[in-house]
Amino acid sequence: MIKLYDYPASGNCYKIRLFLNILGVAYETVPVDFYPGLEHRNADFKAINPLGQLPVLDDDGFVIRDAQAILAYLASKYDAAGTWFDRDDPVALGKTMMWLAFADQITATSSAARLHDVLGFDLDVDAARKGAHAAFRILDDHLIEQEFVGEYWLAGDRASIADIACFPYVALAPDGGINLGNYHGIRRWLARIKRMPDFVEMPGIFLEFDEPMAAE
Amino acid sequence: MAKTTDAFALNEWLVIGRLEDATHDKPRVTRLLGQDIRAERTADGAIGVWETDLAGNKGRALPVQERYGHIFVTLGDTPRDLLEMPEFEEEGRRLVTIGYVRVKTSPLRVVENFLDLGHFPYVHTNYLGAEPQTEVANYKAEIREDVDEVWATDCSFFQQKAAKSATDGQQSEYEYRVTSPFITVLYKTCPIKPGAWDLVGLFVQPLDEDLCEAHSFVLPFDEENTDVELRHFQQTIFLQDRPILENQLPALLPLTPGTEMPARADATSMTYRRWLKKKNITFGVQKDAASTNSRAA
Amino acid sequence: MEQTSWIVAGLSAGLFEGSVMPVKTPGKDLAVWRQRSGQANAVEDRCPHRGMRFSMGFVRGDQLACRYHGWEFDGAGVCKNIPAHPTLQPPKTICAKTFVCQEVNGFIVVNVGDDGAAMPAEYSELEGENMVPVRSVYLDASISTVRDWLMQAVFPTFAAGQDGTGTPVTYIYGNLNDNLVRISAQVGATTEELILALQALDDDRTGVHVQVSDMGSKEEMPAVQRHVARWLADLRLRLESNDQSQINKLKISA
Repeated sequence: MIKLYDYPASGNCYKIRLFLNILGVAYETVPVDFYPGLEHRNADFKAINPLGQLPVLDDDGFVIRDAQAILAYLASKYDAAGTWFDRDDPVALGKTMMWLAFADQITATSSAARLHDVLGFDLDVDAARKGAHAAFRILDDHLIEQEFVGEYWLAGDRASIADIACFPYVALAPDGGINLGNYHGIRRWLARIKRMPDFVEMPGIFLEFDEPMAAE
Repeated sequence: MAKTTDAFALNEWLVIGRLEDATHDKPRVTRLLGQDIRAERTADGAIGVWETDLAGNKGRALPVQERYGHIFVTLGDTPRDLLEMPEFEEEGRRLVTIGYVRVKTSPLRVVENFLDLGHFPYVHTNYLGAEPQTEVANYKAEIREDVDEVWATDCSFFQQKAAKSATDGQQSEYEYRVTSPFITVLYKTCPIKPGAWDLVGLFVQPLDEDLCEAHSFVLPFDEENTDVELRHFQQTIFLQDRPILENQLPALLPLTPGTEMPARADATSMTYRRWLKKKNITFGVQKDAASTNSRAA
Repeated sequence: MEQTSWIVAGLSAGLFEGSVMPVKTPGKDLAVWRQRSGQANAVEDRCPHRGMRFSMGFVRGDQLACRYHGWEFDGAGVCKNIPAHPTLQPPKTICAKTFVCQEVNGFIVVNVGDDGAAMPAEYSELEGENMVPVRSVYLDASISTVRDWLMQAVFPTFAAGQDGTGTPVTYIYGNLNDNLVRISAQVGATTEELILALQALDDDRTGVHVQVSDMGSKEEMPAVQRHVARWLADLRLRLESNDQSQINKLKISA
């Protein structure tokens, strides 16, 4: 079975959990004491990922790190319909890769601000917030242009792993003192993602309750 | 802000970190009630805590207690006693410290949220509650004058994953105990040991009136879960609460009647507010009733 | 022009059914939300129960629910449901503060005052104009500064960009009221119009909600919307640059 080295409060781990849930692929987690234990920095964990970062995925002995790489791997292996990562159309592939790379920019800024505000990490939070706003403006402008042509997702007219990759640290930005109130394209895109079938939440990201939830 | 002049808050024993957060190499540099402080492990093995000035120079040494896995200090000369938790001596229990979550709000808002049953289905969906089981049954909330504590008893709520070791939903029984404006303990039905209570404790470190760090621990009977799993469960709960706490207006707790409208389910909160008022505490309390819709953006 | 307590809070198209958005105004935060049946409403962004921002909440049918405890309020701000007490009829005293909210030809217009003043005629006069929503942009400048800029802003028309012959453009600027600017650009026989609704967030931040005249076929309008959106993004960048030579390129007089 797939093993995910996981921290529940990590947006990068969450994007893997979210995608596995959407794909309906079973997995187990290996909880890593990111905080306060800083287990990801110790030698045992660095034997698994020398970068000392989460998440890491172990699929029957194939060990892969980097959230975006893991999404690409999972889509290629487990998405039989091939809708989440279109590798046949060069334009679609290019767009998806462009926004996958953009996810790192969001992590470097928005996630850093959150680590400062939530866990007291010592870093330049003003620079992190400023960088996040710069990234969110680019994202927001793009999403608004997408809406004009009836394409409601980052890389085209259907959701891709690029949306999954960018979603968590945009949705979690308020945790880092980053107000999303003026990004209307982003607001609507977040709501669309939350309404996807098999969406799951993480702490800091709330479920949408359109209708009262039925009793189990 | 400068150190508070609130006599009640100054004379509380307040948490400033876990025991392992202050080492000889790496001190814990933080703040308490507006006063910068520094904690470090000294040559004799004990933890020392000092007030510090803007340049970080040590000033007055503060009284310190190392208890319940955490460091407690007081800024006052006549502190009230730190709470007693005899359960820490009981065989078979395990202490797991959770660490802290920093929250931009009044420490009193954080304590009040911890005492709240009605938010479980909406904030801790599928963890501590879910629709349609939203009802908060009547329970008893009181100020116990003999011990000067707030207690809520006979609380119960239907929960999906009441604790990390619970697999099915169950009707959980709760008791809440508030021993200080900044300290509260939850006693909760133990899913694996009938008749026993698991403890979840919340020590709120007030940095400023509208900024705090919520430290917590669990002291359960539990043989199934690792410390890390228990930690992750509690961190998940606190991180679900955090966006709520940072979006309440105003950030400071209003004690003026009519500013907020409680329901019967809020009996613990109402009792807690009444107790705070009796103590004339002002730290973390809304000063001007007119400014309800303001909060630094 | 008289001071009015009516503001434009956003574009109708930006608020889909069953959603809620925060709207900042000087000294007052609002949550603007749309019922499932379509009606837009404005409420103070603060649940009367425990002060939680409504803008973090969710819409259930025609009621707005607070995220904290699920209390539900109708469009008039009356509490209809307290989930902790499912059988209880909520007391009438539990109310959220609401504001009159109307939609006028693609704009969401709210009276943020308690004066009961009627909506200024400039808004209702927009009714019937054939406009298409573009987007809202937010600028780090006061509303008067933004208005001054817009009243002399060069809007490179879509048509001029298409014909490439350098047909001269004639601009007419209209200040419909403190919050409404109309820019008409005539290129040959065609006129392109922008209606820009200005919304002060505070003393030095302003939102601009923009619509463009419906000029073409359904196929063509997305290109027009994108054209205007890119001009707005360019405008924002220049205004933020603090570089007067960059800013001057916006102006008709430069």
